Amino acid sequence: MDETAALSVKNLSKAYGSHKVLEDISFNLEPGQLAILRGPNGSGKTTLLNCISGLIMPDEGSILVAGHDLHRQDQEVRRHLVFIPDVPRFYLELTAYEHLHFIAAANDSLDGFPQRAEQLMRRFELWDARDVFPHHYSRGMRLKLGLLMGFIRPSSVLLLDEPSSAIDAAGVALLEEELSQRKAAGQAILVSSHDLRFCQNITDKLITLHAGELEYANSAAA
Amino acid sequence: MQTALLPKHGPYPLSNAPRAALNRLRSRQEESELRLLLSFTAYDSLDQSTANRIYLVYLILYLAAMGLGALLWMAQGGAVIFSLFPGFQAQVLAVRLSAILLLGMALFQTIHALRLSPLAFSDDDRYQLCLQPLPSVLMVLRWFLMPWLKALLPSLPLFILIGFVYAESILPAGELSSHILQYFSIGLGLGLKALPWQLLFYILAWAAGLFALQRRGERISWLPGVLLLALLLTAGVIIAFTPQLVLPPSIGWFLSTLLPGTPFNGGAVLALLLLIAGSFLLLAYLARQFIPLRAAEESAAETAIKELSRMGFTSAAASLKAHKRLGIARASRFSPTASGWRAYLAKAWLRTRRSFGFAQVLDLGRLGLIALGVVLAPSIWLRVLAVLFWSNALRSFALNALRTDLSQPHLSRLTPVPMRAVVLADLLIPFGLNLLGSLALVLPFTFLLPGAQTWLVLLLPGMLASIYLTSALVLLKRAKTSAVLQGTLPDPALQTTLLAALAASIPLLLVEFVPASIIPAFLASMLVPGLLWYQLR
Repeated sequence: MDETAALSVKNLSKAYGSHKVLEDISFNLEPGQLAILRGPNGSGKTTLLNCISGLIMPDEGSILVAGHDLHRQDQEVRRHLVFIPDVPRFYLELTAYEHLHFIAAANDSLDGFPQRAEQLMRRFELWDARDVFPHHYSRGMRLKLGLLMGFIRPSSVLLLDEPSSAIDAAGVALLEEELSQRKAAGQAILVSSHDLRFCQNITDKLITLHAGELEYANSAAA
Repeated sequence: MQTALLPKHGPYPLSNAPRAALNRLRSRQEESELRLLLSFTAYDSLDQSTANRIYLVYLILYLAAMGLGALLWMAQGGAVIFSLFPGFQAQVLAVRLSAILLLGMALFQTIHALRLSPLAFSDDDRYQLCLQPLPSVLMVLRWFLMPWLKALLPSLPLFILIGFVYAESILPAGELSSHILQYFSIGLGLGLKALPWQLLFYILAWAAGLFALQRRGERISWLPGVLLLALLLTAGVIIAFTPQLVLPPSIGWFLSTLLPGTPFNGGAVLALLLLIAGSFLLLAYLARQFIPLRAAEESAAETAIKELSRMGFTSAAASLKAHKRLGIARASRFSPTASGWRAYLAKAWLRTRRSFGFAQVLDLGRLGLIALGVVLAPSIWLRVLAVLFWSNALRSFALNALRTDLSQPHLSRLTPVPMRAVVLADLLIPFGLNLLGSLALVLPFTFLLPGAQTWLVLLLPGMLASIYLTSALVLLKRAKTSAVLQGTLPDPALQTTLLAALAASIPLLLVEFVPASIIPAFLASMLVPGLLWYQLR
């Protein structure tokens, strides 16, 4: 296993009963790399992201995040890894701004929080709705808020599941710009997406799954 | 373009089709409501078998006999209460009580209709029914029947009861069986006499509600409703406090129609029927302006909450209630200085502030009463039994915040705070409130009642902490993230209750059977949670 990689996945397998969802998946992601995870519906993309984020326990294999073993150093991994699902969930009693505040506070990342929160919310056009409870948001706004909750805290690895699925064209362009900046700052980013044009110009690696098996993982240029 | 395939409008509004469709739909809805009510008695209205029909007859006879028996039993108590007012005739008391009851119900119904559309539609209705060009007058009149019957059903027995109380007061005590027909005719007669008044007030409440709905946002929207409320209140106050001789003639006439044990007054009945017809015409007139979508917008959430609660989806109903209570937006209140695990504490505090209401106060009172039971129980085994009730009753209040965090694994994984710290942060505020509430009830009783074992109060905080921690740690152990992702957070009720009760009973048993002092017993309350904590490391 590559301990210098931001994310290292080795021989990962997962099955539900006799149904194999992932089989012997291995790949690495270096700091500053952006990889796109592709594959048809049901190929195991979300399960892979859930396994890497620690939400699902794999049957076999190991995962290192910034050199920390996911199943032995869970707290360290959580300091480094952010996972934003395609349908983010929110607390009932917290407004959008309070969600960002809570995540920043729980990560001991309150330095310059008001400025960072305002800047992010303004960029993604959520500032005017900052005091609104997220359950009153549209689907696209919820997804944007979910992304901002990942962006407001420090991390080395960013996992995004279908981040462009419900966002308008302008929002997608903003997201690509944000990811490009984060990539330049050394973050490793793994994005699951069906959109062939999403992050086309900044992708370093394509990882394709088919029926739970890794079809190929290579550089985008190849 | 193939226009032949496009549906064409019928000769609406002359066509009967929309009316028939509306009638059919409403009948189905009423049928399904009735079926649900009957299902509580294990009667299946779809079962056409003879056995099921016999069961229905049995059910009707059984419920009628039980209901009547209960009313007769309560009437005896009511007659005793009537006898406490020696200055009043039983008839005067009965008629005034009936009138106040009628006016009180009308007051409640009017306020309800003014706050929220009297016609309630579900979300399905909103998209499938309210968008159709259906005759609004028919819709309002057709939708009136079921809510009116549902309002009538619980009120009718109350009037019959007042009638029975009156009969009990005037008929000779030892000869009830020889006057049984008179007894029933007085009781049922009063029920019948109250019925048209109840209908009249219900129609007026709906009319005021419809007017308010159409003019929502305008100051005038409240005017008819407020006038009606003022009228009802004034009548109520006059009836309650004015001596018989100086009653205004209109009030006197209103009361005379409710006199128990007298024959129906034909003129009064006719006048009442005319009033009802007039108010129906008013309702139909207002219904011409009725916009179903506006009603759906107001009532869809309320209808969904009722439906979900009725079906037993209590957490979904609670979420919808919370959405309604919280509104759309609030100014930010998150504490800017709390960081790390204290951020969870700040979140729990905010959550408590935004969700604390009358229901929570009642909850705390209920839990305090059980704690009082633990302290005042006369023997050790009764105390242990009370602890068992206590740990079961506490579960929902104690674990609410933790359950929320456990059911949001995506969110908790966005923070590096260890789960055990989250557990403590989520338990601290409900624990504090619970302890304060319980001590507020327990302390005065313990020190005032002679013979109460005051030392038990010292064990209460430890026992409470033990129940909280044990319940939380069992839940944490059982909550598998993969199951939560599928939408299921387990509720290990039995395991939690038993283990928490055991944990909290240890100090009680120690003090009772081992000559131990309070301090080791207090420390012993942490034994089970300590073991669980160690196991979860």
